[in-house]
Amino acid sequence: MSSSGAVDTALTAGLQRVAADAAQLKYAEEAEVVQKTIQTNLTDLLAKIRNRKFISRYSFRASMYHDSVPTVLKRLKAGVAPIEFYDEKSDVMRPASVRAILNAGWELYKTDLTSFYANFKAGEELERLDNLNQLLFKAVEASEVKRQWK
Amino acid sequence: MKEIQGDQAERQLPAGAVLSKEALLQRLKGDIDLIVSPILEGSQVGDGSVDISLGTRFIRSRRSKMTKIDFPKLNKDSIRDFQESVVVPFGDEYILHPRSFVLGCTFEFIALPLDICGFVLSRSSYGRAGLLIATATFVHPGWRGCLTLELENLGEIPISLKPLSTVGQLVLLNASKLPEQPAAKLIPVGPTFTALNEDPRWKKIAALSPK
Repeated sequence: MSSSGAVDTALTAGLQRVAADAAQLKYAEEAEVVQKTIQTNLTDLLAKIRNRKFISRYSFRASMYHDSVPTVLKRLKAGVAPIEFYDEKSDVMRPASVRAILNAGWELYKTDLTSFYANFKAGEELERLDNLNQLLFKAVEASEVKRQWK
Repeated sequence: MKEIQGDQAERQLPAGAVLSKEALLQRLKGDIDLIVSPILEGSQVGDGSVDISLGTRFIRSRRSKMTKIDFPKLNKDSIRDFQESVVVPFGDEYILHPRSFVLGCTFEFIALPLDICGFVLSRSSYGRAGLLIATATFVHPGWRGCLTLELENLGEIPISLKPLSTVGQLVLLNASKLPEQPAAKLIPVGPTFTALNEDPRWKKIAALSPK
Protein backbone atom coordinates (compact mmCIF):
# COMPACT_ATOMS: atom_id res chain seq x y z
CA MET A 1 0.00 0.00 0.00
CA SER A 2 1.34 3.46 -0.94
CA SER A 3 1.88 6.00 1.83
CA SER A 4 -1.02 8.17 0.61
CA GLY A 5 -3.19 5.05 0.52
CA ALA A 6 -2.28 4.33 4.13
CA VAL A 7 -3.10 7.90 5.11
CA ASP A 8 -6.44 7.64 3.30
CA THR A 9 -7.28 4.43 5.11
CA ALA A 10 -6.38 5.94 8.48
CA LEU A 11 -8.36 9.12 7.74
CA THR A 12 -11.37 7.17 6.53
CA ALA A 13 -11.30 5.07 9.68
CA GLY A 14 -10.91 8.20 11.81
CA LEU A 15 -13.80 10.01 10.16
CA GLN A 16 -15.97 6.94 10.43
CA ARG A 17 -15.19 6.80 14.15
CA VAL A 18 -16.17 10.49 14.49
CA ALA A 19 -19.43 9.77 12.65
CA ALA A 20 -20.10 6.73 14.87
CA ASP A 21 -19.31 8.75 18.03
CA ALA A 22 -21.61 11.49 16.80
CA ALA A 23 -24.43 8.97 16.53
CA GLN A 24 -23.97 8.17 20.23
CA LEU A 25 -24.12 11.80 21.32
CA LYS A 26 -26.85 13.10 23.57
CA TYR A 27 -27.83 15.79 21.10
CA ALA A 28 -29.46 13.68 18.43
CA GLU A 29 -30.06 16.39 15.84
CA GLU A 30 -26.52 17.73 15.95
CA ALA A 31 -25.07 14.21 15.80
CA GLU A 32 -27.13 13.55 12.71
CA VAL A 33 -25.78 16.68 11.07
CA VAL A 34 -22.18 15.68 11.84
CA GLN A 35 -22.75 12.16 10.58
CA LYS A 36 -24.44 13.26 7.36
CA THR A 37 -21.84 15.95 6.69
CA ILE A 38 -19.02 13.43 6.97
CA GLN A 39 -20.81 10.81 4.89
CA THR A 40 -21.69 13.27 2.13
CA ASN A 41 -18.32 14.99 1.98
CA LEU A 42 -15.94 12.15 2.79
CA THR A 43 -14.02 12.35 -0.49
CA ASP A 44 -13.69 16.13 -0.36
CA LEU A 45 -12.70 16.06 3.29
CA LEU A 46 -9.99 13.52 2.59
CA ALA A 47 -8.64 15.60 -0.27
CA LYS A 48 -8.60 18.75 1.87
CA ILE A 49 -6.94 17.03 4.78
CA ARG A 50 -4.28 15.59 2.44
CA ASN A 51 -3.69 19.08 1.12
CA ARG A 52 -2.37 20.47 4.37
CA LYS A 53 -3.08 24.10 3.42
CA PHE A 54 -6.56 23.57 4.77
CA ILE A 55 -5.28 22.48 8.15
CA SER A 56 -2.68 25.18 8.58
CA ARG A 57 -5.05 27.98 7.62
CA TYR A 58 -8.14 27.01 9.50
CA SER A 59 -7.32 24.63 12.30
CA PHE A 60 -7.57 25.81 15.88
CA ARG A 61 -5.06 23.53 17.51
CA ALA A 62 -5.50 22.20 21.02
CA SER A 63 -2.57 24.26 22.27
CA MET A 64 -4.15 27.45 20.85
CA TYR A 65 -7.43 26.48 22.47
CA HIS A 66 -5.83 25.97 25.90
CA ASP A 67 -3.81 29.18 25.59
CA SER A 68 -6.65 31.51 24.71
CA VAL A 69 -10.07 30.08 25.54
CA PRO A 70 -9.92 29.70 29.37
CA THR A 71 -9.24 33.43 29.92
CA VAL A 72 -12.07 34.39 27.61
CA LEU A 73 -14.36 31.79 29.13
CA LYS A 74 -13.71 33.06 32.65
CA ARG A 75 -14.88 36.55 31.68
CA LEU A 76 -17.91 35.23 29.85
CA LYS A 77 -18.97 33.14 32.85
CA ALA A 78 -18.86 36.28 34.97
CA GLY A 79 -21.22 38.04 32.54
CA VAL A 80 -18.49 40.16 30.97
CA ALA A 81 -18.14 40.60 27.21
CA PRO A 82 -14.67 39.05 26.63
CA ILE A 83 -13.26 41.80 24.43
CA GLU A 84 -9.65 41.96 25.57
CA PHE A 85 -7.33 40.55 28.19
CA TYR A 86 -4.15 41.61 29.93
CA ASP A 87 -1.01 40.12 28.44
CA GLU A 88 1.42 39.99 31.33
CA LYS A 89 4.50 39.33 29.16
CA SER A 90 4.12 42.50 27.09
CA ASP A 91 2.17 44.50 29.73
CA VAL A 92 -0.62 45.45 27.28
CA MET A 93 -4.30 44.69 26.84
CA ARG A 94 -4.73 42.45 23.80
CA PRO A 95 -7.97 41.87 21.91
CA ALA A 96 -9.36 38.35 22.17
CA SER A 97 -9.43 36.45 18.90
CA VAL A 98 -12.77 35.78 17.23
CA ARG A 99 -12.02 32.04 17.36
CA ALA A 100 -11.37 32.16 21.10
CA ILE A 101 -14.57 34.16 21.69
CA LEU A 102 -16.76 31.77 19.67
CA ASN A 103 -15.16 28.67 21.17
CA ALA A 104 -15.61 30.05 24.68
CA GLY A 105 -19.26 30.72 23.85
CA TRP A 106 -19.76 27.12 22.72
CA GLU A 107 -17.91 25.71 25.71
CA LEU A 108 -20.03 27.74 28.10
CA TYR A 109 -23.23 26.77 26.28
CA LYS A 110 -22.37 23.08 26.28
CA THR A 111 -20.81 22.66 29.70
CA ASP A 112 -21.57 25.37 32.23
CA LEU A 113 -24.60 27.54 31.55
CA THR A 114 -25.48 27.37 35.23
CA SER A 115 -22.46 29.52 36.12
CA PHE A 116 -23.54 32.08 33.56
CA TYR A 117 -27.15 32.08 34.78
CA ALA A 118 -25.90 32.77 38.32
CA ASN A 119 -25.29 36.37 37.20
CA PHE A 120 -29.01 36.97 36.74
CA LYS A 121 -32.11 37.39 38.80
CA ALA A 122 -34.79 34.80 38.14
CA GLY A 123 -36.13 35.23 34.63
CA GLU A 124 -36.77 33.54 31.34
CA GLU A 125 -34.05 31.20 30.12
CA LEU A 126 -34.45 32.36 26.52
CA GLU A 127 -33.73 35.96 27.51
CA ARG A 128 -30.53 34.91 29.28
CA LEU A 129 -29.43 32.81 26.32
CA ASP A 130 -30.10 35.79 24.07
CA ASN A 131 -28.01 37.87 26.47
CA LEU A 132 -25.14 35.39 26.08
CA ASN A 133 -25.36 35.78 22.29
CA GLN A 134 -25.33 39.57 22.66
CA LEU A 135 -22.24 39.47 24.88
CA LEU A 136 -20.47 37.32 22.29
CA PHE A 137 -21.55 39.65 19.49
CA LYS A 138 -20.31 42.66 21.44
CA ALA A 139 -16.98 40.92 22.10
CA VAL A 140 -16.49 40.05 18.42
CA GLU A 141 -17.38 43.58 17.30
CA ALA A 142 -15.27 45.44 19.88
CA SER A 143 -12.23 43.15 19.67
CA GLU A 144 -12.21 43.62 15.90
CA VAL A 145 -12.33 47.41 16.33
CA LYS A 146 -9.43 47.17 18.77
CA ARG A 147 -7.42 45.10 16.27
CA GLN A 148 -8.03 47.61 13.48
CA TRP A 149 -7.54 50.75 15.59
CA LYS A 150 -4.41 52.68 14.54
CA MET B 1 -3.73 34.71 33.90
CA LYS B 2 -2.40 36.08 37.15
CA GLU B 3 -5.02 38.02 39.06
CA ILE B 4 -3.68 41.48 39.69
CA GLN B 5 -5.24 43.40 42.50
CA GLY B 6 -4.99 47.15 42.94
CA ASP B 7 -2.46 48.71 45.21
CA GLN B 8 -3.38 47.99 48.81
CA ALA B 9 -2.83 51.58 49.87
CA GLU B 10 -5.28 52.75 47.19
CA ARG B 11 -7.81 50.19 48.37
CA GLN B 12 -7.68 51.67 51.84
CA LEU B 13 -8.79 55.06 50.56
CA PRO B 14 -11.98 56.29 52.20
CA ALA B 15 -15.24 55.74 50.35
CA GLY B 16 -15.79 58.60 47.94
CA ALA B 17 -12.11 59.13 47.16
CA VAL B 18 -11.36 59.48 43.47
CA LEU B 19 -8.94 56.82 42.16
CA SER B 20 -5.61 57.95 40.74
CA LYS B 21 -4.53 57.13 37.19
CA GLU B 22 -1.98 54.59 38.50
CA ALA B 23 -4.62 52.84 40.59
CA LEU B 24 -7.04 52.75 37.65
CA LEU B 25 -4.41 51.32 35.29
CA GLN B 26 -3.46 48.70 37.85
CA ARG B 27 -7.03 47.61 38.41
CA LEU B 28 -7.85 47.58 34.70
CA LYS B 29 -5.14 44.90 34.32
CA GLY B 30 -6.94 42.62 36.76
CA ASP B 31 -8.57 39.45 35.57
CA ILE B 32 -12.15 40.27 36.47
CA ASP B 33 -11.82 43.42 38.53
CA LEU B 34 -12.42 46.86 37.04
CA ILE B 35 -13.30 46.54 33.35
CA VAL B 36 -13.70 49.35 30.84
CA SER B 37 -13.12 47.58 27.56
CA PRO B 38 -11.79 48.09 24.98
CA ILE B 39 -9.27 50.78 25.88
CA LEU B 40 -8.31 51.98 22.40
CA GLU B 41 -5.77 54.58 23.50
CA GLY B 42 -3.68 54.98 26.64
CA SER B 43 -4.78 58.60 26.93
CA GLN B 44 -8.33 57.40 27.66
CA VAL B 45 -7.35 56.71 31.26
CA GLY B 46 -6.75 59.81 33.33
CA ASP B 47 -6.59 60.77 36.98
CA GLY B 48 -9.89 59.63 38.43
CA SER B 49 -11.67 58.90 35.18
CA VAL B 50 -11.79 56.92 31.96
CA ASP B 51 -13.01 58.50 28.71
CA ILE B 52 -16.04 56.77 27.23
CA SER B 53 -17.13 56.78 23.61
CA LEU B 54 -20.33 56.39 21.70
CA GLY B 55 -21.50 52.98 20.51
CA THR B 56 -23.30 52.12 17.29
CA ARG B 57 -26.77 51.41 18.63
CA PHE B 58 -29.44 54.01 19.28
CA ILE B 59 -33.08 54.08 20.29
CA ARG B 60 -34.94 57.04 18.89
CA SER B 61 -38.40 58.36 19.60
CA ARG B 62 -40.84 58.63 16.76
CA ARG B 63 -44.16 60.34 16.31
CA SER B 64 -47.03 58.04 17.09
CA LYS B 65 -50.73 58.00 17.82
CA MET B 66 -49.93 57.74 21.50
CA THR B 67 -51.36 60.79 23.25
CA LYS B 68 -49.24 60.52 26.39
CA ILE B 69 -46.68 58.28 28.02
CA ASP B 70 -48.53 56.69 30.91
CA PHE B 71 -45.75 54.63 32.53
CA PRO B 72 -47.84 52.08 34.48
CA LYS B 73 -49.73 51.19 31.28
CA LEU B 74 -46.69 50.76 29.08
CA ASN B 75 -45.76 47.33 27.76
CA LYS B 76 -43.20 46.03 25.27
CA ASP B 77 -45.54 46.63 22.32
CA SER B 78 -46.60 50.12 23.29
CA ILE B 79 -43.00 51.14 24.03
CA ARG B 80 -42.09 50.12 20.50
CA ASP B 81 -44.96 52.28 19.19
CA PHE B 82 -42.99 55.39 20.05
CA GLN B 83 -39.39 54.15 20.18
CA GLU B 84 -37.36 52.24 17.60
CA SER B 85 -33.84 50.80 17.43
CA VAL B 86 -31.31 52.12 14.95
CA VAL B 87 -27.77 50.92 14.24
CA VAL B 88 -25.27 53.43 12.85
CA PRO B 89 -22.26 51.73 11.22
CA PHE B 90 -18.73 52.78 12.17
CA GLY B 91 -17.72 55.77 10.05
CA ASP B 92 -21.32 56.91 9.62
CA GLU B 93 -23.23 59.44 11.75
CA TYR B 94 -26.51 60.03 13.55
CA ILE B 95 -27.86 63.57 13.22
CA LEU B 96 -29.40 64.84 16.43
CA HIS B 97 -31.61 67.81 15.68
CA PRO B 98 -32.21 70.72 18.09
CA ARG B 99 -34.49 69.78 21.01
CA SER B 100 -34.31 66.14 19.91
CA PHE B 101 -33.61 63.20 22.12
CA VAL B 102 -32.09 59.80 21.43
CA LEU B 103 -30.84 56.96 23.61
CA GLY B 104 -27.31 55.85 22.83
CA CYS B 105 -24.85 53.63 24.63
CA THR B 106 -21.20 53.46 25.43
CA PHE B 107 -19.00 51.52 23.05
CA GLU B 108 -17.05 50.34 26.09
CA PHE B 109 -18.29 47.41 28.10
CA ILE B 110 -18.06 48.36 31.76
CA ALA B 111 -17.86 46.15 34.85
CA LEU B 112 -17.39 47.79 38.21
CA PRO B 113 -15.99 45.79 41.11
CA LEU B 114 -17.81 45.71 44.42
CA ASP B 115 -15.75 48.55 45.90
CA ILE B 116 -15.89 51.11 43.09
CA CYS B 117 -18.79 53.27 41.93
CA GLY B 118 -18.90 55.75 39.09
CA PHE B 119 -20.46 58.88 37.66
CA VAL B 120 -20.98 59.60 33.97
CA LEU B 121 -20.10 63.15 32.96
CA SER B 122 -20.48 64.92 29.63
CA ARG B 123 -17.35 66.05 27.86
CA SER B 124 -17.35 69.82 28.22
CA SER B 125 -16.47 70.40 24.55
CA TYR B 126 -19.70 68.68 23.52
CA GLY B 127 -21.60 70.38 26.31
CA ARG B 128 -20.60 73.76 24.95
CA ALA B 129 -22.11 72.77 21.61
CA GLY B 130 -25.37 71.93 23.39
CA LEU B 131 -25.06 68.16 23.76
CA LEU B 132 -26.17 66.58 27.02
CA ILE B 133 -25.25 62.91 27.31
CA ALA B 134 -26.59 61.59 30.56
CA THR B 135 -29.27 62.27 33.10
CA ALA B 136 -29.04 59.14 35.23
CA THR B 137 -25.37 59.47 35.96
CA PHE B 138 -24.67 57.20 38.93
CA VAL B 139 -23.23 53.73 38.27
CA HIS B 140 -23.51 51.27 41.15
CA PRO B 141 -20.68 49.07 42.43
CA GLY B 142 -20.92 45.65 40.74
CA TRP B 143 -22.76 47.01 37.68
CA ARG B 144 -22.02 45.34 34.32
CA GLY B 145 -22.84 46.23 30.72
CA CYS B 146 -22.77 49.07 28.22
CA LEU B 147 -24.16 52.25 29.74
CA THR B 148 -27.26 53.80 28.22
CA LEU B 149 -26.70 57.47 27.41
CA GLU B 150 -29.59 59.91 27.19
CA LEU B 151 -28.43 62.22 24.41
CA GLU B 152 -30.17 65.52 23.99
CA ASN B 153 -29.37 68.47 21.74
CA LEU B 154 -30.12 71.62 23.72
CA GLY B 155 -28.57 73.88 21.07
CA GLU B 156 -29.87 75.50 17.92
CA ILE B 157 -27.92 73.55 15.31
CA PRO B 158 -28.04 69.81 14.48
CA ILE B 159 -25.20 67.77 15.99
CA SER B 160 -23.49 64.88 14.21
CA LEU B 161 -23.00 61.90 16.53
CA LYS B 162 -20.30 59.52 15.35
CA PRO B 163 -19.76 56.07 16.84
CA LEU B 164 -16.43 55.82 18.69
CA SER B 165 -16.22 59.57 19.31
CA THR B 166 -15.35 60.40 22.92
CA VAL B 167 -18.47 61.98 24.35
CA GLY B 168 -17.94 61.71 28.06
CA GLN B 169 -16.02 60.31 30.95
CA LEU B 170 -16.67 57.83 33.69
CA VAL B 171 -15.40 59.18 37.01
CA LEU B 172 -14.50 56.34 39.36
CA LEU B 173 -14.55 56.52 43.15
CA ASN B 174 -13.88 54.17 46.02
CA ALA B 175 -17.01 52.81 47.68
CA SER B 176 -17.78 50.73 50.75
CA LYS B 177 -17.45 47.18 49.51
CA LEU B 178 -20.66 45.32 48.72
CA PRO B 179 -20.89 41.84 50.30
CA GLU B 180 -21.60 40.08 47.00
CA GLN B 181 -22.09 40.61 43.27
CA PRO B 182 -25.65 41.90 42.72
CA ALA B 183 -27.70 39.81 40.28
CA ALA B 184 -28.70 41.57 37.08
CA LYS B 185 -32.01 41.41 35.25
CA LEU B 186 -30.04 41.38 32.01
CA ILE B 187 -26.54 42.58 31.07
CA PRO B 188 -27.08 45.31 28.46
CA VAL B 189 -24.78 45.67 25.46
CA GLY B 190 -26.85 48.42 23.87
CA PRO B 191 -29.29 51.14 24.95
CA THR B 192 -32.28 49.79 26.80
CA PHE B 193 -35.90 50.85 26.56
CA THR B 194 -37.50 52.33 29.63
CA ALA B 195 -38.64 49.72 32.15
CA LEU B 196 -40.54 52.14 34.32
CA ASN B 197 -43.74 50.14 33.75
CA GLU B 198 -42.22 47.41 35.96
CA ASP B 199 -41.86 49.74 38.95
CA PRO B 200 -43.77 48.04 41.82
CA ARG B 201 -44.62 51.47 43.22
CA TRP B 202 -47.36 52.03 40.60
CA LYS B 203 -49.64 49.48 42.27
CA LYS B 204 -49.21 51.18 45.64
CA ILE B 205 -49.95 54.58 44.08
CA ALA B 206 -53.04 53.16 42.35
CA ALA B 207 -54.24 51.68 45.64
CA LEU B 208 -54.36 55.18 47.14
CA SER B 209 -56.55 56.64 44.40
CA PRO B 210 -60.27 57.14 45.21
CA LYS B 211 -62.51 54.37 43.85
